[in-house]
Amino acid sequence: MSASARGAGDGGDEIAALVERAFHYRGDVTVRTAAGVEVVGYLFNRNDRGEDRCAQLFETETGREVAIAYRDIRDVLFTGRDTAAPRQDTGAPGPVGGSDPEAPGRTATTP
Amino acid sequence: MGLPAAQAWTVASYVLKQRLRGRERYPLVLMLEPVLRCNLACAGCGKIQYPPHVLRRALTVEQCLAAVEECGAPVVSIPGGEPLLYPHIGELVHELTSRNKYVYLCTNAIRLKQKLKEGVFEPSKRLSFSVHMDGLRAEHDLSVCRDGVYDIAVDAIGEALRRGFRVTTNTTLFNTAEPMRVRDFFDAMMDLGVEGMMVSPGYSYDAAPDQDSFLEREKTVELFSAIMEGKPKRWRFNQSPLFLQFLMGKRDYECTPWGNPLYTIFGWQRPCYLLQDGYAATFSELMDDTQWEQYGRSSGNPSCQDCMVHCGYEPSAVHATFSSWRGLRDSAVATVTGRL
Repeated sequence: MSASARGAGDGGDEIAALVERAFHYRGDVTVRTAAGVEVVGYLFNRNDRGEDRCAQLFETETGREVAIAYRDIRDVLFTGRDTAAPRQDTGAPGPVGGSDPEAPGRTATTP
Repeated sequence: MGLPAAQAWTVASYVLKQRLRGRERYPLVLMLEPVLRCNLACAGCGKIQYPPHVLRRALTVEQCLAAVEECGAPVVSIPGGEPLLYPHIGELVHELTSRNKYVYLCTNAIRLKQKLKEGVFEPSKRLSFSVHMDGLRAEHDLSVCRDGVYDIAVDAIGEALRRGFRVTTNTTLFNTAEPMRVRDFFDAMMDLGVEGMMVSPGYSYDAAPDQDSFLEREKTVELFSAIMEGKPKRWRFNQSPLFLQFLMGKRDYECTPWGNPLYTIFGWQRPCYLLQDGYAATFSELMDDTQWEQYGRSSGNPSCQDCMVHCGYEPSAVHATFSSWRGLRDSAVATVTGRL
């Protein structure tokens, strides 16, 4: 798992930059809120315009879609594996299940 | 070319209606991805790199139909991921064809024969299986990173044709393509009896495992000229001849990113099928709030400079066909003579 990218928790621009990085990250992240809550999930979208700026996630455990306002975000940690990280076996026969997590012989953590 | 007259008429009348209404931007083909998971992990694909809990997600049939209604495009293409992994694919296709939509089900065909035997689909003039074939056996199996897939796909194509289904192929070419081998491949596909072929250069997805094989613009033109120049008349393409001429460098178009909008588990993707700059909750939000001037080659956007992919430029070619008598004439001449 990748380490945290420190988000400070004060400047809006810094949080916006973190959320932007998380949006382009192909792994799960952990969002820490001002209330001390940690939300773990895939950050699939963000609304970064206007006063209602928010990040949208699919929670890893529940599958629930949640939206968190930028003003409530204190930090974003890149805690899940980057599924788009370069792999070493390009050109070699691919895994039998492809990216299908339901394929026989595959576990939930090996997409 | 390989487009049935009824389908061509449906598309033509739709485009003309949009123009008569003065719509500056309108969708031509809805790209509908009910699932992102796939049973292959191709080197050039950047569509499937997500955590398992995301890959398990799927749109409901109701969500799919609502998107189709909202978009209004006459053609629905179902790529993915692998749509035959979608548990409700039979129901979805049935609902779409009964709404008079022309459906291209884009599949690697690994599960196609099984689904046909299970009776999941019924033959329809509105349904075409668009089978992913990136070349002859050696090239295709290398492209999809698994041996044996070419033979499985050829077998499934034969089965679908025997059962009376429309079958087309879709081919993505990279800088590893050899023109003579591609020509042999097109011959082989026509020998199989497919209705037509679709071909496009690949897009340089940031997330794709293989970052070395994407075509630059000049190389794309060079490759497609070598493949298409003096093409046999028997090659039928299920796409605009003007788009093929664009790939050969004979025409210059600007991208039409709203032409093939994508609806997926994340929403309506901005700005196009290839770039992921965000998601809109509704189709109208996508069309109205996307800053379209930031995309396309003339915008200077680096992500767009080498892109000549069908989802952005085929709508441009169709638009050009119906924008002038010359466009209509050129398209008709290429269609009738088979010359590009």
